[in-house]
Amino acid sequence: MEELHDQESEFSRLLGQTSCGEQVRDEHREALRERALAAFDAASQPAIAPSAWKQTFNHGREIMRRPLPRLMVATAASLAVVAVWLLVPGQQPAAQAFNMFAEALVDAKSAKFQMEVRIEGQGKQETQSYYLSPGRVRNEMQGPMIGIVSIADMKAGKFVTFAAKQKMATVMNLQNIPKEPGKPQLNDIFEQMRDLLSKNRDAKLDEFESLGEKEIDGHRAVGFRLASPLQLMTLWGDPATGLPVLIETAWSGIPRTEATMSHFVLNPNLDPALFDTTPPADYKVQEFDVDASKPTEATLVEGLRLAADLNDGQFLNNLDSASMQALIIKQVLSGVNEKTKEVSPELMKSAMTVGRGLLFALELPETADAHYAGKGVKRGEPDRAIFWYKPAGKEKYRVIYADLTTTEADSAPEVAGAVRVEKTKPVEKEEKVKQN
Amino acid sequence: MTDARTDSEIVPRDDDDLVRRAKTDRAAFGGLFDRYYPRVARYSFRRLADRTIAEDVTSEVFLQVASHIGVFAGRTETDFRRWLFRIATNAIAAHRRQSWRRAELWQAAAHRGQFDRTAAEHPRDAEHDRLDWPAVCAAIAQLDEREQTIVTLRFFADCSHEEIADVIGSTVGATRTALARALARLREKLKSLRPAE
Repeated sequence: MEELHDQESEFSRLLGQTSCGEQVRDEHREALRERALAAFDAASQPAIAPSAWKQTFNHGREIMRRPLPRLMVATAASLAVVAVWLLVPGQQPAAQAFNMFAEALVDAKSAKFQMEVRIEGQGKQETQSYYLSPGRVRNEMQGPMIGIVSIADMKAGKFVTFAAKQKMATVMNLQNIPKEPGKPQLNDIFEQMRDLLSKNRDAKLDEFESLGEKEIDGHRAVGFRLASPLQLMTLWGDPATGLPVLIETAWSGIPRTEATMSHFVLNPNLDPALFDTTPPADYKVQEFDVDASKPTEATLVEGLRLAADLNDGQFLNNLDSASMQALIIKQVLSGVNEKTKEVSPELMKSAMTVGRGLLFALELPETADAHYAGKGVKRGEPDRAIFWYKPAGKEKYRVIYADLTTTEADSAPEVAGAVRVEKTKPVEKEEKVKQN
Repeated sequence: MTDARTDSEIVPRDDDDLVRRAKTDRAAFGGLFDRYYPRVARYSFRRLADRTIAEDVTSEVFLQVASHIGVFAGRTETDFRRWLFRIATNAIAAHRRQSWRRAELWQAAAHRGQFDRTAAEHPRDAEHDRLDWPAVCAAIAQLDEREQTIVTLRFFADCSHEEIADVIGSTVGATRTALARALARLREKLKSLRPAE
């Protein structure tokens, strides 16, 4: 410290002997003063009361609590396995993880951005993506899967995938989408994000995790990590502009999926025709319904039953994405119609139910103490607990047995080999650069 | 060495109330502008070595500040200073990337003789050290970008070590280490530039 002090003294003395003619010009100062005050006035009118950062954060959590986006993780991932994988034989599937659009871009008028999706064990897929309010998303696959386009129209309850080369379309009709009357409209999500980013220095850190600052593509960005039971989202934004720079999301989905969105262009003029879900007349269309209701314990029970049926009567070794994916691919390969190259609607529905059952398990909070013990267990085996959890606010455990009966228990069953149902964990936890 | 500028000397007395009022009060914002215009202008000029460019960047900085101070979260003048110089540092870095390469910028400025040697104002020191600004400029130009930022923030923008650390996204300890290293390198470079006695 003393040495630095001396060094600084010496350099100060040297500088004191020099001048670079840096005196400010009064003309520039006065002219800029007027412009700056005009900019100040312009920014103040109309007076937009900045929403509190806490409200912003609560809105963010509210978005992630909504069943539909979370469901879309399972929908996209499962149906990517079932549908896209078949549409492009020999190619790796790509999850249509568009729920993050809804989360990140809710109620933005429009947006354009790039996305990279990484699926457990399958490499990465890059897309050029577009969003148009209300709730329409278009993903154009890049690289080896170029020509594959997926379009989601949440309001219409449609999720379609077009394969230009094969002239095939898969149309999913989302049914029983939960209505949420009385829920606030999540308008101006980007304004809220701006507010959150610009106010980060005063935010209370017990509400979310501050990641400090780092430079991204020449932008000084501040980062936050927001966690929900099913996903972990990291937002990096430019505090000077309040705009997002990078959004990273990791799901413990089906399979585990990570995505990065970047290069945002906000409110571009987008032709609504880009989001038309109507298949071209010369396309072969496969259409089926998808239950989009919030999964329940009954969904899990049904999912366990179907999974066991698809697995020669034996429950999955693990209640996780990898086991799910392996099972579905195996069934798809054996269930495809060689002539039509189509999968039976029944199998598609079964896959979705299994996925939604897993979704129920993954959504349980840590306090539910959820465990799975189905490895090597045959369906119908009596008195053999395979899954248990403690519902929120309840003292007793709910237990599902191998014969798919359910009961309540005062304590968790003691079963050898039981595995706790794990939630999302970040693959690479960003270094905390600076914490205020 | 008795003339070292300590943090308490180079950081002006904070006026937190002025910052808080400047978010909604035009006159208070004008007061902040008056207080910080010279420092930002000087910092920009020392980094960019061209008056016209420096004034453009200074304008960009204050227009950005004016547009966003309404949502600026800081409550103290220290918060504001850190925010202001982050914006300035980013603006300068962006300009440098977009325009001349760093070395060309500094070298060109030095060779154009833009800098007024004021040795006449310090006849005794000048006779002793015989260093002029172009020499200092050339030496600073040989530092890497990060070191240049640290040195100029410290000596031309009067930022404390803590503020510099905040601006460059580093720790105070790492910033001090980097500053000491940069000054040691500057000393060597300037020594080589001095005429033999």
